[in-house]
Amino acid sequence: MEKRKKVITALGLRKNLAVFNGIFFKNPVLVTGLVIAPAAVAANSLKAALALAIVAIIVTVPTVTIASVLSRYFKNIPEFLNPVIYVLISAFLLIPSFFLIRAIFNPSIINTIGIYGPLLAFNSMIFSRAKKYPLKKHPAKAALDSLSYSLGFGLSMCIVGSIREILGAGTIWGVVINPNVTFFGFLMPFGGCITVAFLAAFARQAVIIINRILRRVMIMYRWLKRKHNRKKEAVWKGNGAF
Amino acid sequence: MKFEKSNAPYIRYHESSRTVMSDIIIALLPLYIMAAYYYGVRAILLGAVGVLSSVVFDCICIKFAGKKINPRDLSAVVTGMILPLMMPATIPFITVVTAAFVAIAVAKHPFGGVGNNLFNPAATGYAFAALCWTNEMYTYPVPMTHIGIALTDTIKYTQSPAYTLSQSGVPNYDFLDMLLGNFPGPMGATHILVLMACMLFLIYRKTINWQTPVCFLVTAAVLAALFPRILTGNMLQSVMFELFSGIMIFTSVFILPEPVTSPKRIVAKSIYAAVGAAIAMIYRHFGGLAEGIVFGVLLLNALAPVVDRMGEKIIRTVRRAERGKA
Amino acid sequence: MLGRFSKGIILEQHKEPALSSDIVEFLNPSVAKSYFESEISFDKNALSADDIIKLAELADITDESDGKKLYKKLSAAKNAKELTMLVADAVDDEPYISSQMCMMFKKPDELCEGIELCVKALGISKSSIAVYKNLTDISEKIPRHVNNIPVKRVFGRYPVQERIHDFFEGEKIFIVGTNALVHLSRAFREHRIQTTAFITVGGDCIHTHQNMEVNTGTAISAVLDRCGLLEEPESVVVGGSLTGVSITHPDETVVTVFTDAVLAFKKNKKEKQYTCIGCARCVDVCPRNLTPFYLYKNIERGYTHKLDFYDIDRCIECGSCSYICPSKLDVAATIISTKHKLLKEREAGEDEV
Repeated sequence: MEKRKKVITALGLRKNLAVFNGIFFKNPVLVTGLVIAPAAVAANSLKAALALAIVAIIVTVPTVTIASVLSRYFKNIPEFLNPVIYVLISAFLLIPSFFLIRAIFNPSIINTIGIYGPLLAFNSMIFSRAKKYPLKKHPAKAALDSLSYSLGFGLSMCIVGSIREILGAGTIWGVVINPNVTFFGFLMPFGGCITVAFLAAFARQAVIIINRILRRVMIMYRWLKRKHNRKKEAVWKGNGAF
Repeated sequence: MKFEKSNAPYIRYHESSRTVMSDIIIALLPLYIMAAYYYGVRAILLGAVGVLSSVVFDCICIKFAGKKINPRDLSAVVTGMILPLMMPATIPFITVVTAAFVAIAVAKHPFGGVGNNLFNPAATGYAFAALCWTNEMYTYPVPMTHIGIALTDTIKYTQSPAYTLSQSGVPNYDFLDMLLGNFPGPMGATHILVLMACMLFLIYRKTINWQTPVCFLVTAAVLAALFPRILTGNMLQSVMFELFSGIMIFTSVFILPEPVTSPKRIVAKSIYAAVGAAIAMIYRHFGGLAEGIVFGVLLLNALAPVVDRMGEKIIRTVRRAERGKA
Repeated sequence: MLGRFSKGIILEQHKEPALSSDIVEFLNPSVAKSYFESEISFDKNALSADDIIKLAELADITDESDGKKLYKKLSAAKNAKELTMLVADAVDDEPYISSQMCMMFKKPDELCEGIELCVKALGISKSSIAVYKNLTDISEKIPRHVNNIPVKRVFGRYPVQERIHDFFEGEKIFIVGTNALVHLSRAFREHRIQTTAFITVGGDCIHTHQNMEVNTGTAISAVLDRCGLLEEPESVVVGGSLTGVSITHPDETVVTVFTDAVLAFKKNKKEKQYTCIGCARCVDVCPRNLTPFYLYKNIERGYTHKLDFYDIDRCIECGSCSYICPSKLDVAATIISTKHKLLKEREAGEDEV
């Protein structure tokens, strides 16, 4: 029972590769549930999902990097001012991100994503990563960590958005593939919540299974390494002929 | 001789969970027969599709959860039979299958299976289908048209009296027509006389208690009499149309007294039914769809544990006042 | 609240043919009757109250309705001095059991003599016999007087045992079981020690239902062999059919003074256990207005800290909730075992503090 607990609580990769946890093992939408609202409500279609993902990347990564730099070089900032600084920076960064998505997609995308675009200015990924990931680490690592979280957000948003679009409207990226059987409810918030719930269940189970596989792989790897070392020692201690 | 240890008590009442469920199934069969009489063979086919899909999804979900399938557990069959009766007879088969999927795999098993669901599965399935296929769900065929398996173009569609009422009009059906079910409406909810007989049967067998349907209907009748949508000034006519059109009486017999989602004390059940009737009338007056009572039921299901807890606090003081000793 | 509108369950009593047939004696010849030495006279008029209490002590009589020694009860009640009425407890509200009621029909003289002795020992004047009223399938009519002692019919749904006090309003009553009264009269008349118990043998699998007088220490299997088994029973129960204890080794369990009945039941093979469907029939039926549904759910999920809110210590262990459950769950057994466990933990906690 205790061994099982270790596998489930230590979700993800360890030590050096822990920076890349955000993509799959600690996915903010499906596994840890940090930013569910945009996925459940606004990700009606693949275009909207991608737009929100771009906004999230542009808003989150510089904010967390600046947060790490500030904590490393300016240590006297009081604790309660941290969220204020983060939100100011991320709200400022919203403007170029909106210009970008208006250029990539058509200008009506702003209406499609509604309020959830500006809401990404204070998403939980910023606060969670700026607080939990040790601020004393190198800013490059903080940047990489927040980038992986945002990429995980983007990946899961695209999956949710494409499923909702295929089931709800029969199109994908505006191209009609199945006009006959559509379930209109998936375009609405409650259908989105149901989709996110089922996908989250599958994702968490997949994380557990992959963790088990990785654990076995690690054990095998260590056993092989130890065997190799013992062989080396035996060769050295052996005849003395070497 | 050695015996196994068993638990007290050693004699049990002869009723079992299977008889409770089979009573409800027996009460639903006359509604299917009347629907077949009015709308043809398609009614029975829809029922069969509903039952089959419910049972299949139920078995899959039980296997996923790692439990054993109990073939005497008829709750999935009951859900599968209730769902098509709330829809018109011209509904496509995919709607029934989707509603059964949402009822079983979204509203029942993720919360723990039989006996643990928070929301009424039949109400959730119907709500999902009503939001996805609004047009097909609320246009009904004219009664006494016999529909085959495939929908042809010769079927005439009309709106139910509920829709007419919501547009501030006066439906023109007389009392006997409404009692016998000769007006457009959901497949199993228009035959008022048969529904009343089924309600009396279930109350007599003690499957549902009489307080829930009676409080619901009385409150709805009072509200319909006090705030009529028909402006001709005849209170009884308003009451008749409000109560008989749509799924008001069907809900009060089959959806609202569902044992798992309603509160456990009788006083709490009466209050629950009265509040449900008030919410149903509010949805009728101000809601967007012609029949919004199902959403009110879902809201109430979420509030049932709260009502129970308040009732428990009241009963605690009653207990202490009744007997002095602990 | 008196019986007619009270909560509880209506049971089929199955008391025939045990009630009509005579009491059979099943005695061990070597210990059948034993006597004690005493100076107390055999004349009723010369006895004093203390003499009667001494008789009860020497004969070692136990009251089967609450398990206490009769002489201790009598001396405690005599010192209290506010009682007005003696009630002989012949209420047998569980099915199949009639070991207390049969005294009224089969040994009325000894019963009345015992009542007179008790009344003299306590110094009160009124007495009565309480009998359960809702028995529809017995062949003998319950009389209104037994040798000039009035019979009070106690009515209501099962369980009635706790509500006896409601039927005697305005009187402070002292309850004694009828078996103890019969033993008291025997102690007075023959100076006999109580070595036997009156039990009912019944159930689905028994061939002849009867009331028997059995020596304490007889094995249950001997009693079952004496009455004959129709088929192999599923469970053998000592005590009541709703509140008894099932035994696993009838060769090694013996009849004691606290035994009311020995019952053997066969189980219905088709009845399986379903999951709880939340029908709340148990809540409708509980005579103490508790909610067994929530108690069972909280125990299953392990939330023992919530059980105090639902008043688990008010349970009288009658078993009505399990009887009526359509899913055939062991509601009553779960609640009772958890209640005893919590009580033990609470006492252990208080001892530590």
